[in-house]
Amino acid sequence: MKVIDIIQTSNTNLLRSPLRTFLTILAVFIGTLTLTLTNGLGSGVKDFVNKQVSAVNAPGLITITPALRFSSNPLGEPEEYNPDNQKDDTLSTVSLGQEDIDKIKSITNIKAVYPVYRPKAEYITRDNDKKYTINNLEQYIEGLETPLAAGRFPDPNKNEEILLSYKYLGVLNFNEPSDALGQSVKIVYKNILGELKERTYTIVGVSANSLAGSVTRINLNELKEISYWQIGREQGSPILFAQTDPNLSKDELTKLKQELREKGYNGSSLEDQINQINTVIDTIQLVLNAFAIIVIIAGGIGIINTLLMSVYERTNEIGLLKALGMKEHEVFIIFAIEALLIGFWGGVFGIIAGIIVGYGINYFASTTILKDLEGFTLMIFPVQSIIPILLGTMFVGLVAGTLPAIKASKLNPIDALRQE
Amino acid sequence: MIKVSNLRKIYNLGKKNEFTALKGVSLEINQGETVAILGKSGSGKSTLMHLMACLDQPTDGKILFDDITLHDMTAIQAANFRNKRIGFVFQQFFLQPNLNVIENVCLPLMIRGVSKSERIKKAEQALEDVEMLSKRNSRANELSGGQKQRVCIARAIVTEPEVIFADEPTGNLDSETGEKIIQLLFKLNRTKGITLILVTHDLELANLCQRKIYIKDGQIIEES
Repeated sequence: MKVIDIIQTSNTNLLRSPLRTFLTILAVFIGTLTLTLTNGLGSGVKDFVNKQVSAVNAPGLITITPALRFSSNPLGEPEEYNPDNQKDDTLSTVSLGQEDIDKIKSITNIKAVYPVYRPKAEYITRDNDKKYTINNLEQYIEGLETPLAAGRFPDPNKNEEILLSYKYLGVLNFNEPSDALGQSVKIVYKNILGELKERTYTIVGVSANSLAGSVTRINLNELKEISYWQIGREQGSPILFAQTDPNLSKDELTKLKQELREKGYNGSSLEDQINQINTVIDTIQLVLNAFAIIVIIAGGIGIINTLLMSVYERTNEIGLLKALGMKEHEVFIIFAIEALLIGFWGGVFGIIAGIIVGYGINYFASTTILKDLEGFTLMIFPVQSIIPILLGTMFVGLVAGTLPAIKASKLNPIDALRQE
Repeated sequence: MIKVSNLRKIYNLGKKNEFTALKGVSLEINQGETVAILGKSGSGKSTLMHLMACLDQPTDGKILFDDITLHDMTAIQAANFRNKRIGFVFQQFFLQPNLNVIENVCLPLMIRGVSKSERIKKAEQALEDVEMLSKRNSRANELSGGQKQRVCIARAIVTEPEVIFADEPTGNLDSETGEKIIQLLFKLNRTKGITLILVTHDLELANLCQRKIYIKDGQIIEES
């Protein structure tokens, strides 16, 4: 038989009882629809998180946190007091000071270590007329790159330069991000004695909106000064940033982290953090996909059922075809292709419906819950995740078709013709 | 053309329900003959036909078709052999209900791998031979019994076979229609030289053939 005739025969057979074929396809369809949506959601979230996180580019910057030294066993016996071996049970008690900075600096390949200063500011204003609270004030470290709406990053040596958050453009009467450049703003701080201090800054850049929010950044040295003035002493820091050579090899980086661990700290690069987030998203996606795959497998059992019934109904016909000279393997292929086609159409319609539903959800989400998150498409459907779904449903169809196809191909023509 | 010697067929050999259908049958059929195989149901006549038509394997004995020993062929060779050299006409027609008349007639050629235009041309010729060309696009289940059997005959002759095995071809037809079908088969025998082997329990029908072979309990009891 010609290949085209075999495919056409399979196709004609499927159309013989359209309702039954439709219902069989429906099971595969629902599974594929679900799988397309869960995959689309996973891809969308991952894409967005990666875009956002990788927008914050800090080559060679490592975040350092203290490794928590928990009491060895909460149910164990009390230990003898030793001032040199104190264990912290909660994060709140942990703070890193100058001692830690010196310890970390001594590690090879670490060039500089910065603490985190977040002094509380009272308000921000342009002309003392209208005052606005400002509580997302962060430090600028040389080498840190975040998305900019206009301008540039502050010069690390110029304490009076500021990178203004996008959010403050409107209230400070700037129409465009570029209008703000070169203008000055005042930020007022208060210390523990209740005294106020006013600082004037020149806007050199405007930071763009992102998942992490749009922050205002001032040079590290300026914030350190303010922070010291506010409480009258050096302040501990929950985390530290260490600057390393961005061109360190993987081995050198691993060694560096190992050294940190030995000294009682955890170090993670931006890449580590992205990987951690991706692992979480992948796991969630895997669980969701597992449910969808179960539905597709149930659909596969439906295919077995339908085709077995079809073999019984068509026993006479199969007998005739064999008497007329059709070979065993051709009978097998005809039934296998029927199963494959059910899987294929279930897959195609499921994917198309999934994409349509996905775009609907995207539209709905972008106008409601995700209104403020620019650049976030809830679901995306990259070809490299769609093709495996289609191949997968066809594979399920093919596997499901094997049993009925073998049954049909092994039918003895005489017995098959004799059956009423 | 067909030479059967000492043919034996035992079903379920070695099992409790062992059943001997043929107990040593020998016969010879020449090219262009019309032969009736007569017998009651259960006599073994259908088994004999199945063996001669290469649909089944004998337990013992030999069938020569020209120079080919039938049971020496592989399954694929046997399938090709049936497709090219044998035509079948069945009592129950076995037309595909979802296909129309011409598609049904095309089936054996499609199985053979003939191109679509070629097989339609041949199928139209075969339908003309059985005077059914006007129904070429009808659904098989819209036809009367006699029309169905004509389509079956067209399906049998479309491959230009050497032999047609007709298994109770008039069994589902009234006598007048059956008569016409038989006339058609004999006409094809005369005009195309196709050997006709008729399996039937109807003596009247058998009398129209050149030779009659009576079978009872798996043996030939009379030949005329």
